[in-house]
Amino acid sequence: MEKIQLFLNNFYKMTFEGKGAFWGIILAAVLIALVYIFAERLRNRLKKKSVFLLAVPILLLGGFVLLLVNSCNYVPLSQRTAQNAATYAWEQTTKKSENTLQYTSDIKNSASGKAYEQSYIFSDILGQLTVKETSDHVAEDYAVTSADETATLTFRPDGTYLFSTGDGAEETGRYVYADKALTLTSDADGSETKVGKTSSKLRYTTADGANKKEFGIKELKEKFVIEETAQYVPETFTLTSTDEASTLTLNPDGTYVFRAAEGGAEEAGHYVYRGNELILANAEGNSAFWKNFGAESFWLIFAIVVAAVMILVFLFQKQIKAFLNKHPMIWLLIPAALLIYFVYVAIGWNVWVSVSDWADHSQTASYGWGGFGQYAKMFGDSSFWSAVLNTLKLFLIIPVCLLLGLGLAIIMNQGLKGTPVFRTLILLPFALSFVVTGLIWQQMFNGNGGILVKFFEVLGVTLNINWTSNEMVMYSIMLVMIWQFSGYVAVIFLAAIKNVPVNIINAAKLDGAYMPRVYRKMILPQMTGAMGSCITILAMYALRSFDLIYSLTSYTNPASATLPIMMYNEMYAHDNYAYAAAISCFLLVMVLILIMPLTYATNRRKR
Amino acid sequence: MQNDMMIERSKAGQAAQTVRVKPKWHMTVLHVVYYVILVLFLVFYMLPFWGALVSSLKSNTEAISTSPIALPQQLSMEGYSGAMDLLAVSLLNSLVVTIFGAAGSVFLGSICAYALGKWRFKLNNVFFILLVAATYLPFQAILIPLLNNITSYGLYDNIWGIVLAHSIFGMPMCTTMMRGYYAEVPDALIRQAMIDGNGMWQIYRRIVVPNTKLATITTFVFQCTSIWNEMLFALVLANQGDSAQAPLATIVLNSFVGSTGVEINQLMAGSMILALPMLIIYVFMGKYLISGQMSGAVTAS
Repeated sequence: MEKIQLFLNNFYKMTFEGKGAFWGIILAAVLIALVYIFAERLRNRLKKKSVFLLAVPILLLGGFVLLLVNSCNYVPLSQRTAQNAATYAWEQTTKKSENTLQYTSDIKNSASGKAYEQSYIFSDILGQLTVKETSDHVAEDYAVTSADETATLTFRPDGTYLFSTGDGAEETGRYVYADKALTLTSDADGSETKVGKTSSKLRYTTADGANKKEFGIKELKEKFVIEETAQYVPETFTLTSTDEASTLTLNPDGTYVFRAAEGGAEEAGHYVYRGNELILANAEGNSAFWKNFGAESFWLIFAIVVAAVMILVFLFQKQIKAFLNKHPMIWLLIPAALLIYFVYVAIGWNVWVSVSDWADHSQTASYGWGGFGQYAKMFGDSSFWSAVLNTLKLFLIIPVCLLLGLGLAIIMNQGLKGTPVFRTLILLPFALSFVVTGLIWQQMFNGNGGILVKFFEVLGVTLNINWTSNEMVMYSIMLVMIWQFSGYVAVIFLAAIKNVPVNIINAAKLDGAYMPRVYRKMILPQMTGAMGSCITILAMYALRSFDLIYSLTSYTNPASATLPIMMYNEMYAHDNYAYAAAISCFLLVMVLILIMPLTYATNRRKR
Repeated sequence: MQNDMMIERSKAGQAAQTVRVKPKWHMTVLHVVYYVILVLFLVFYMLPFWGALVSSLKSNTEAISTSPIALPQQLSMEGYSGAMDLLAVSLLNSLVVTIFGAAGSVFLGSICAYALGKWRFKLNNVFFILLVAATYLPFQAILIPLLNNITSYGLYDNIWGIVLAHSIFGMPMCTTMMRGYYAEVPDALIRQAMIDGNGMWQIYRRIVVPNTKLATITTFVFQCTSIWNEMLFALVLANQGDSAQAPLATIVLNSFVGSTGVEINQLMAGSMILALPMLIIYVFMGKYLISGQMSGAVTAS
């Protein structure tokens, strides 16, 4: 029950909060569609004069909707302690690591007409503020076992930990949980191991480097609780800006006052120090109408636009209807625009990113001209060429799947008993999500006690293949893909064989044709269409192979990296967006070169 | 030479005829060989399912200690209850994304398919080629712009962002599939409706959609399977880790690996939970889904 409640809460939040623009567009589309649908009926009831009267209730309704939507976001100032301040757009946040605190006020400088922008030395105030982080250590002894179940890591309440390998060697050190990260410091050489809150794995390496172990620490994290109490200064504290013109006064009750230099203009607000950040929430903004709307100011403009559009629609009803009757295809502009923007403009955008000056290791977009450096880097990168080779290796599944599929289809065509059941069952792997396939086949390939090992043990064969070793891993992936797709190909081929008219085959038999020859000369030529589409589909799966490899191995393993995997790795693990864009452009070119001629050829053959 | 071949052929023909009347011993042997091959492949295809199913029905200690293909000594629902506990929210998220995403893409696709299949207009061939080419688009090539777009709409880490992406990128496949089905609506019917004074979209509403309900349902179900199973958009357009608001079931299931809180029986049970709806759909509708996809691929190719 509480899970459902959690889902509903999230759903409500995601649907109705702070999505002004998106829901504005949707609402506009719905309203215009409603007008279009009901225009016919309304026209019969209304004379042209009363159209303006109609606009009044529409505007009222619009206003009501606006209020309703805004009430989801609106929190009265009295309750707006700085705790929920972070949800507001016009706040100014300063992190602990930064040196200066920038404050931009709403007060205009009478001389220059610009808003005040002042900077303060931030470290002055840090001495005044502390966040109480409780529970740096676990409450009682807690041990985690490594993924291969040999080593253990024991955390003690006194802040020490003990790492013991399975064979008796031990290492000690100190640990602390602070700033949402767990840090282990080894006693042996003082080396540090750090793991953040979002990561669920802890990799521990002993001082001599001999033992590398991986621990899952999902449960361990729950042992640490950081109680972040909003902290304010203990007594009133005044900062002076670096140009000594303005002051910023922080009060113990969580409010601050900004005083501009001239005329003593003041601005007040709330502040909080939390999670190593000082957040200032401008109270002035709350009283100003436009700022109250914040991003939702869009809504007001939007309501006016919608009202105007509706009035125009009513005024020019006849002309609009005539226009739509004359050009009914105008509605097709909606999917066409979506397609062109999200696919073709996006491809161009992506190409531009690949030659832009978007810096490496940066999430901040930059679209200046940066030259072809990313491509030069890409073609000089050995891991890129191994990814290309891996991607091409996956094409080997096409002949294997086609042969298996053809063989199975021919056997299934013999009219044996139980064929329908077999056909249903071999289609099942295709129904699975790649994630599920990946997880299940991980268990298949598992070296000690995996399904494959145990199965061959039952047959009396000792299977000694390390499926996930660097040399084997691509072949393992191919085996999984063959498992998933060959049944599907067989079912398609069976349908194609069944499509060949029985009369011709019977006639050939009467003429004394030998069955294999019938298959070769009569049935196979009729299957080129099915074969062409199968090749296309398989080639697409080989080129777009992302999900399967992601869940079967990992996206960080270079031995199993294909181009999509490498692109994702560059994009997410390293934030090299321009480089990732260059890789994806190369992938796109590969698709164009390898798939498009195939599509064209099958197309021509059909005609 | 020619004569020899003729004789041989007629001999083979006689043999074929005798086979039909009275099976010879070597045909029986052949059938046995066929059955052996079928059973071998059945084992190959079903072994992973068997392993997953059996492991998911064991208790945690038994799943670790016993062979993964042995039957459970004691049936245990421990794995399923644990997996449901971890997956519940994300399954509901997946359901919402699947239904709305499939509905959106089928709606957009059917409009395009109707216009392209039954009418001619300026640039219709260009539009069709653009749509078909988009079927083969590798999503990596538009990932960065898509991420930027979705973030700028404020829809990052939000199921509606994923719904939007699926609606748009499912549209080309839906169009090609539905174009095949709409081709079967007779042109005479449409001409008749036009004579009766219906406009283009009135015909769509009153004639085409009611007459192709089954096709629409097939396309919808096909889209549902692909969105439910999809991973890339779910991975890229939503936050990862503990603070994620819109985790989809595939991602959460994948994150089970390596976290000690999740045991092997829960992992397999989670896989089965995620797979079950799709398996049921494919058992009952597999034929229609595949023929639909093929008709799409044939029109596309």
